[in-house]
Amino acid sequence: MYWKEIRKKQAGLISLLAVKHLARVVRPNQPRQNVKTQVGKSIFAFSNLLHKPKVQTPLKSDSGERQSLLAQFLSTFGTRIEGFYDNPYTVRGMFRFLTPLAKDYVFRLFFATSPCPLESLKQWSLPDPLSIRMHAEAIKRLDSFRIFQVLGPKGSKMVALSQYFRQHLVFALYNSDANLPVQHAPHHVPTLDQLQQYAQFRAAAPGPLHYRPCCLEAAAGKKQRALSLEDAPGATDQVELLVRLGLMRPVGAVAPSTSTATTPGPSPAPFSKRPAPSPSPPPPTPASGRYETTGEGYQFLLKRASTQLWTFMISYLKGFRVRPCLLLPGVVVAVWGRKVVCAPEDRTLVEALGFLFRLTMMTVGRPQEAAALTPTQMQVMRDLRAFGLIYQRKDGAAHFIPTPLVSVLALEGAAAPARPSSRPARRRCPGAARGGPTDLEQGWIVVESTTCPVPRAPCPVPRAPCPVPRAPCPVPRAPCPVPRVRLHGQRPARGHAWLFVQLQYRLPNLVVGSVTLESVRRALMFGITADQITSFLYQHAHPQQRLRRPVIPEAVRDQIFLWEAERNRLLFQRAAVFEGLPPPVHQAAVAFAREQGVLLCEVAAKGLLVVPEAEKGPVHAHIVDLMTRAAALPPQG
Amino acid sequence: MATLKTGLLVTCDPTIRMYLLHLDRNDRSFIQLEIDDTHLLIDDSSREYLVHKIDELHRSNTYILGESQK
Repeated sequence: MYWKEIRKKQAGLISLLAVKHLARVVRPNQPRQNVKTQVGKSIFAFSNLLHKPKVQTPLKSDSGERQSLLAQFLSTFGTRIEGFYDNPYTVRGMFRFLTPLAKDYVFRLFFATSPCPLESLKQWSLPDPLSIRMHAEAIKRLDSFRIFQVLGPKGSKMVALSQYFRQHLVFALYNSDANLPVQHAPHHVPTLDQLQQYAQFRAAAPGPLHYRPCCLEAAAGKKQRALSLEDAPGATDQVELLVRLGLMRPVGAVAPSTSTATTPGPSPAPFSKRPAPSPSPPPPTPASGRYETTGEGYQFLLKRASTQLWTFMISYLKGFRVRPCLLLPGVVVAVWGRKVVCAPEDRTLVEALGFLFRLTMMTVGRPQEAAALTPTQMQVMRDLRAFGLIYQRKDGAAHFIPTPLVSVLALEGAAAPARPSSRPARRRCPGAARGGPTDLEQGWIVVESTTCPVPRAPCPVPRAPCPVPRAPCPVPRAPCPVPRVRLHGQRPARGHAWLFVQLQYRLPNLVVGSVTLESVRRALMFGITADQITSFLYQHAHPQQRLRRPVIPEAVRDQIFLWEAERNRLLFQRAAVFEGLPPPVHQAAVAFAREQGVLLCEVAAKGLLVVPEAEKGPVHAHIVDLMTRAAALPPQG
Repeated sequence: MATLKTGLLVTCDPTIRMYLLHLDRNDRSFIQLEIDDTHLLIDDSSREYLVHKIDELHRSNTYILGESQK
């Protein structure tokens, strides 16, 4: 009953907000019909905000990966995260990061005037296992982002929406425009195509993204395994950044087994001209000055551009935290009656993160007034130029313009923000709007299995023998008996498919390659998994290919997994072996180990018992106990 | 007399086990204990060596596209 009322209130408030929003938009002397259209538009806009149209997710784990990147970063702040929501754009940005179910929960609690019992939240999910799992995930995510506040003792926990979050969510609902007002329009505004070129130039000129296509690729190439700093003058900063992220390492250094690209260590801001005050040690500079790509680096290449960009952004924000030059006095804020002190360095970080989120909401290609920025935001804006996210005609110019790369940063799941684009390629591929590579990662992939029909003449594909024995093709004239990958687009190599594809030939808008045992094995040796390869093929599938079920031919997918399984024929595990146990002791010890769930294997004839090394303590104690008892017994007969 | 040994437990199929026994006899000794048909206990330091050797074995068994045309 309680929730029903809340639902009613919620529906009422949405239309109220829409009408209020309209009141600001509609001029009094407007014709009646226009007003109607605007009402419709406004309500549509709000309902869109609440219930985003369901779109095909290109990669199931991708959205979650970025969420966990951000969650991992924010979790380092503990309860101080609440202070982060003191910025409407952060609130709106974080809201975008939530799953649809979590968004729904936020709105349910939005209208609860007092904290709700945690137990009653369980009634929101259906009793089937999938719903319960999704419910638990949504609650966990909201709790980890501290959007929910859990109050009260353990037995009777209460949940409420974070005060700042609630407060600024209202602001986010009212103000959809994140652009900075411009007083004097600049004389020259570059077109979207020019901005696109600029962003691509930045991505191919000094800047960290440069090292996606250049450093990592050069080092990942088959012939040139290592990159020398002499080949890329002025790249020291960026290489340092990549070394800190664990994506590259000096030649000869031992690969850190636990470090991943998602857990980069503290790094100073890489693009600041000022010396970073962080005392973090510099990366070890090898005598040869040569660097190579790590396994994480190769895996990083196969990730979506938005995930890659967020990895850099979070690394940048980590470095940003420790700059003393912009520190403001600590600010005391009250959250649910408690006093929370935003640490001074948090304050600047809150502002930086807020500006980053705001940037993702700005209109691409529209000039923004630089004078409206605070000193912190100005610093962020200057640094982001190095990433190609922002165009500024010259240092200190009155305006700055977000480039199309910003929309890659804003890309959540498959729902790309609407953005004016007049590229013919997009028009030809209607599926492009529903998820798939953006303009910046052009190129589609078409995967065909051996069994698909291919025109006999003129045959563009060279005859090649099958790398593994296969079932006979149902179409006898298929001349190419290896899984083929066709890459469409102007710059298909950008997709990094070369990591696991043997390229065969290149046409003006088409590249054809084969997925062979050798090419996949090479990728596996780099540390890429079969799952990543198939996810990559799925994610970049051509719109027409996307319509097929399954999207990737089963024969190709299964073969890639089989090749991986073949390589993983050896399983290694640290273990402790008890040898020469007398039969009664062996029997009892095996029963004990089995009961504990630690038994790896046993051989009764040799009196052998194998358990994981970490678990050997209790088993060892038990065996000693059994042996003492056996020794104490008088010998039989 | 009961004893306790620690090391790296290798789980593999019998075919690969035979190859590992062959390596142990002819190339470099690394096996501490033969447990059964699918399990071996080896030295801690031999992991990289084995992975490298298995990769080499696979490479020698792989047909590389285009090599026959050269």
